[in-house]
Amino acid sequence: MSGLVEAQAGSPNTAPVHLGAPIRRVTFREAMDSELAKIRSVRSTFWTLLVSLIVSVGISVLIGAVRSANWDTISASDRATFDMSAVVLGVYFGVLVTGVLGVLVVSTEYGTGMMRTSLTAFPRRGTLFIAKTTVLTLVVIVAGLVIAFASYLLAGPFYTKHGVNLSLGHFANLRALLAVAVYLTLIALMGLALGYLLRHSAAAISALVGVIFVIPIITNFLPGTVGKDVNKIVPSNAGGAMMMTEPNISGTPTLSPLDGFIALLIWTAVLLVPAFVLFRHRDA
Amino acid sequence: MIQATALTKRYGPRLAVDHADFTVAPGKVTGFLGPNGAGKSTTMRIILGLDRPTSGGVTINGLPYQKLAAPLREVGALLDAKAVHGGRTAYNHLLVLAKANGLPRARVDAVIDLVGLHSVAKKRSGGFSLGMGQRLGIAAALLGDPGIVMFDEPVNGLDPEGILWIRNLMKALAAEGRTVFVSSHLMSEMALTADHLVVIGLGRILADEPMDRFIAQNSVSYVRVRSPQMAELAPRLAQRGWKVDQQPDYSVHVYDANPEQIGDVAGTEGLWLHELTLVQSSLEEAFMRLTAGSVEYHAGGDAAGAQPAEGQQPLTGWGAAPQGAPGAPGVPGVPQDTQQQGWSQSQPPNKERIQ
Amino acid sequence: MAASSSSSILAPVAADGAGTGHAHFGRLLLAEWTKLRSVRSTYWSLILLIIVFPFFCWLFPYLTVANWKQASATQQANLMLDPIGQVMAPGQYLGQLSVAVLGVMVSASEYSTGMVRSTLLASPHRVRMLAAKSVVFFLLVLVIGEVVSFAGFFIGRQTLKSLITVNLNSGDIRQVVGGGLYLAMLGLFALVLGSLIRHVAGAITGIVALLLVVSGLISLIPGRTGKYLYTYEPTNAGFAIIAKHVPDNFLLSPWEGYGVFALWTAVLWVLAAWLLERRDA
Repeated sequence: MSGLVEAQAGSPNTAPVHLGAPIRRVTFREAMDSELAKIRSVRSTFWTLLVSLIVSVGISVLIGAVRSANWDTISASDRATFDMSAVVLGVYFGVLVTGVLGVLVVSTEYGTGMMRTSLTAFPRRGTLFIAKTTVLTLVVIVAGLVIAFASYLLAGPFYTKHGVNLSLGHFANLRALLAVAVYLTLIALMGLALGYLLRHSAAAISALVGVIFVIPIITNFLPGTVGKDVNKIVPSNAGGAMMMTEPNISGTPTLSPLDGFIALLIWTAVLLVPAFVLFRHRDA
Repeated sequence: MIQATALTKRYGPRLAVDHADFTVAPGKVTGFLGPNGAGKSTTMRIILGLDRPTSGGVTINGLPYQKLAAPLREVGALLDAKAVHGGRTAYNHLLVLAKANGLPRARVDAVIDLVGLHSVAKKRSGGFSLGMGQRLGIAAALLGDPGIVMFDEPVNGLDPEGILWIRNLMKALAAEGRTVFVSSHLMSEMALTADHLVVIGLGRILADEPMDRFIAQNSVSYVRVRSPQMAELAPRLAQRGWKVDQQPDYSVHVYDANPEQIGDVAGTEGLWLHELTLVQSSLEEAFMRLTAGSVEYHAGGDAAGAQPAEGQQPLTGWGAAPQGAPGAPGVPGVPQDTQQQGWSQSQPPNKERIQ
Repeated sequence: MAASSSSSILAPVAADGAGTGHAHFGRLLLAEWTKLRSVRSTYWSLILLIIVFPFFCWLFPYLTVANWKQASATQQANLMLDPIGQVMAPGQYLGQLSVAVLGVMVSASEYSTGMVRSTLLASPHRVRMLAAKSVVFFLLVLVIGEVVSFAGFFIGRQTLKSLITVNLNSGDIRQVVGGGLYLAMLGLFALVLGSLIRHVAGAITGIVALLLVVSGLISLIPGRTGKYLYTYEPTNAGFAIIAKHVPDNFLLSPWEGYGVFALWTAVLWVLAAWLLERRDA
């Protein structure tokens, strides 16, 4: 309070700084700086990334260890399915946590009213949306790469010691590993879109859970070729296809890795585009 | 300068703002007054581009808010001090805003020192007291050193020192030539701070004029006279055509005359005077009279909304309450809060009202 | 100022028996019920449950019938041995999510909204408040849970008619009634979790992870340890109540499993109550 006492006594020190510089139009760059500062200054960023890392790598290691210990009891046909996607199995679960990060970077702004403050500082909503999306993408891609290579280093040995080929010189293996970062990022973007659409943390997280976990449970059992096709394109399976070294390696039919990527991209766009439009038009 | 032209905002069937025209000019403190639900917050949100108007528009220095090059450098607003992410430190919150408009870190430090949050700058804002949160909001508003400052209930939660500080701050900002637009319910504060008033009721602009003209037009002032020879004095005053009102405590209230004139009469007649006081109406009284018909949400019970009789102290909106009307912010619990020359002192309660 | 009642500006509040112990808990129950029914998330979650549970009790049997020719011998045997369980499981597995989310929100969102302060001002006996909240929520989910369980059962039974006639013997009624019982206990479990974690997003993520991820993953752990872990994991333990016979890696009977679930919930409830008393609101 002492600063206050000195500052007042009649005429406060408003010290008209009159920021000598002329007023320059703020651009995407300022929006990016601001969004980056936002994501770095909340604890949930750190915790979700950490938990995602632990879950993804931990589960991959756990499964790898169990399989390795029981290698001889595993049938040959099952063993044939083991490729790079087996090494990163934990990602199928860790993706929920990075997805939640995507939800939270938006939904907490609505929940706390910070969104109004943000829009006052930067009213050009389209630009702000794109900046937030870009920042999230960058953060999750980096985290995804860390998760991918950590899985490779820690869980890989359980498979390579039994002769599974995981060498990164083989392009399909490298691609499968990099696809982890892409998968995590696109699901996080879907979380972000859901956050903008629903503006409520619990609802958006529930919707995300529905998309990632519930839908594949249903489509897995759909009959006929139509059913199988539908099952191939749902987001988690399309994403899974990206992380396989070749299609159908797991026994259930999947898309090719490239098709999987495109399908997931389309799903993400299906959520992001309405989110963008609604954000620009709704009242804050 | 803020300029609103036929500003209208409809929420479904409800007309929150109804063809509002007003101007907020630089160099003075403009108070934005209105009963609860009158449309003040809606108007302020529209000015800041948070809500879209149904028709009409409002410009800031000639441009709509979205078109401003760097909004925080032209307009600084405090609408809702709680609109911050509780997990973020005060410093980081201001940093986020600074970066959004290309402001240097030095500005963050400068405003933190200005509002006195230095000791808690690195603490999570979720743990802030009401006053600290308010000061954070004020810091955010001043971050870009803007030419226009908009405050909604700025003294909410501040201690007396803080209230004095912000009053002086607003006056100093206006003196520098900035536009200061303040919305508040605290009549006593408004009366001390504002130079110009914009009054809104049920979405309509009821007044847009300087403070003294507003008070003069919407209320009545009188001179209170006490004399041991009132029996002789009163008729003399009445003879001059002035309205003379007997009071139960043997003083009279004289209307349409100033103290000098009355003093001259007494002096000419050789009569003793014990008191000669000019009693000017308060802002609160003027405001209540003007907005009596426009109050949407009344406190108290039955007699709410009754029009005051001419020349009487109005107590509209407070129902049948005797003294001690509850709930009015800033009212010291005395029904007639009139302002005398100098600082306000409560009149003794009107004896009629005691039950 | 005269203090006689006639001049008070506040209308006197009819104070009928306020503060007596017995009536007090009843008031708490009413308060918690009012809170619950006046919030949109309650309606959303329960409507979702009412739709989802019977829907999946229809969908999976339908798909089973549609795919019957391609089904393996084991899968066909599974259905024949325990048709009721096969009908109830999908509805329960997916319906439980909305109950879990609602349970977490009932307690955790009081913290995020700050409502907890009003709540604790109104009822400073914190443990009693938690008890009232628990009772109200448990009963609500139980009632709705039983309704959807029976609805799901009848729908599923109808769908399977072409393959197998399912009768509800007295021994099997546990499997249907158990659906509602499981949901109610899960709701309470989630409520307790929300009270412990006090953070809506974190608690939702946690319980979803527990239900969908952990429960399944545990079954991968081999050996005796794996079986113990699988059996005594709370949600797995409770889930068994809808099965006719427990699976191989499950070490208890269905009712015993439910008992384990209830015990977990009780222990965590006590922990939550203790922390509630001790922590700052």
